[in-house]
Amino acid sequence: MAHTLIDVSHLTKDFRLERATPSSLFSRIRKVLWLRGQTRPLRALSDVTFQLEQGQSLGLIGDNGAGKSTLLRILSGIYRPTAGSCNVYGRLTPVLELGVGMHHDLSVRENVFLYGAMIGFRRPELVRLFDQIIAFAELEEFVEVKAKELSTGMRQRLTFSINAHLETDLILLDEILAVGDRSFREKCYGVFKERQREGKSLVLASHDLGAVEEVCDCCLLLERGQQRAFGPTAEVLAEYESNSQ
Amino acid sequence: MQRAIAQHDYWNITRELTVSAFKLRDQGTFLGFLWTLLQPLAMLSVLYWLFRNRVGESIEHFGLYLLIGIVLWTFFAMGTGKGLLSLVMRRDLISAVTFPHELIAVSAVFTVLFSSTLEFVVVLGFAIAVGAGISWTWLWLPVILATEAVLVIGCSLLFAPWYVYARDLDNIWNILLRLGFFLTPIFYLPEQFLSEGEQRIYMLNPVTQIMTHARTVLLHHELPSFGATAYTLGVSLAILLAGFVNFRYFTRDLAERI
Repeated sequence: MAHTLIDVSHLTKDFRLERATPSSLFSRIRKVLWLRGQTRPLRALSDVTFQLEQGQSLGLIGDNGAGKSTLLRILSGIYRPTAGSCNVYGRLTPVLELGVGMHHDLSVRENVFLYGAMIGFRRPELVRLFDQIIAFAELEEFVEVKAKELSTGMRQRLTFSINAHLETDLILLDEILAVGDRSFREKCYGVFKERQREGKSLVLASHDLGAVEEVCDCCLLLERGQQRAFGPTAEVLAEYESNSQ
Repeated sequence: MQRAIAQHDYWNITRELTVSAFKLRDQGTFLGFLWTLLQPLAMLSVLYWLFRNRVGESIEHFGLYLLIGIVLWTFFAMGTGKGLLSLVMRRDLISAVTFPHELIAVSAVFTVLFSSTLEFVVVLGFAIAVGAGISWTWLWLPVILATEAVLVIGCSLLFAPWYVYARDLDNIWNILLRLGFFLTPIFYLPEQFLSEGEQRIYMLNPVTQIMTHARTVLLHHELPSFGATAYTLGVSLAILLAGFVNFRYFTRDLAERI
């Protein structure tokens, strides 16, 4: 029986935007004494509430600055909520910035082991999956090449491939379907579909509404941090498109 | 907030970060790893030449005494220096990859520990070459080095989050390290310059204790006293615990601040 995988209740996130001054000790002491006066508040998410069942996939849509990436980072545990709660009852893989974490002066092989370790692989698993990871990223000829010699797209493919081989209950994806060429995108879709058949979940933040329609069962529409709609994908997409016109 | 990121293998992450940093460190340099050894040896030659007659004449195997001090001090200074900068240096990881970020600071220290261990192999070779003899007490050296590693990791966990907030900390720490070089017995005996009362305060410094223990083992072929060992280990563990608590508390909003 499906159980609740994500439970977000009245979630609010505020940032304090600092003035672009260097972080000196003096400026820090001044901030401690007059903190509120030195920063400007920004509410990135306001009173967001939704639940996602295990096996369902969620699309996060909205214009730039709507709060999609902030929500993904809170779900990942990178940011803390200012108010409300955000619970994830399962293991998750955040894929937020492809290419980040690669060290440009290390080889592709070394990067697979370094990045793989950081996202949760054990070394024997990486040894076993190494050829599959490289084959999925289509980098068989570049295994011993330094990562800086790869194109940006190749590095992103490699990062995605490593993440795609990690077995978790939930994958969080931030606008990653823009990666690579059409054939690689098709392979990514293939991975998502396979995960869904296995009863795993995805949360996908994207401007590509076609991709969201194809992959997600339900959608959350955000507008400047406010929750505008949450429900079946077709209904929420229709509302977003009617608002945009 | 409840969440389970994919289960992390702490040791695997630390090893990968350490090994990759070590590989990158000397990459592209002509002498490669030899640079690690040349630095303490260059320091040894200058200090030996300067102090061999005035300070060194009352110290048996003065060259070895100096080398032990230099290697242990270099580990402390470089380890805490790299640890302090570690979070800011890997800020890319903090906002995009979810793994225990204290491992960034720990691996920065491990990279320096790896060099220091190799330097200690040179120290042992040097001890044999100058006729200081071989002893079973050498087996205690890993404990001494491990105690210093605990201390250095503790300091790094204390400083690294604060460096995110105040970049002056790097300069302040470098000044303190410069003073510390003269306030630890690297090239002299404490009793040559300090009164008994001053020595009691001077010996509270755990780095001084660690140096003294290493010399007891290598030069006198004895084990350090239980009390001194317990004190040094206790202080190092207390600093590690304080560092860990400090790190957990002050890195809660790290991704937003870095």
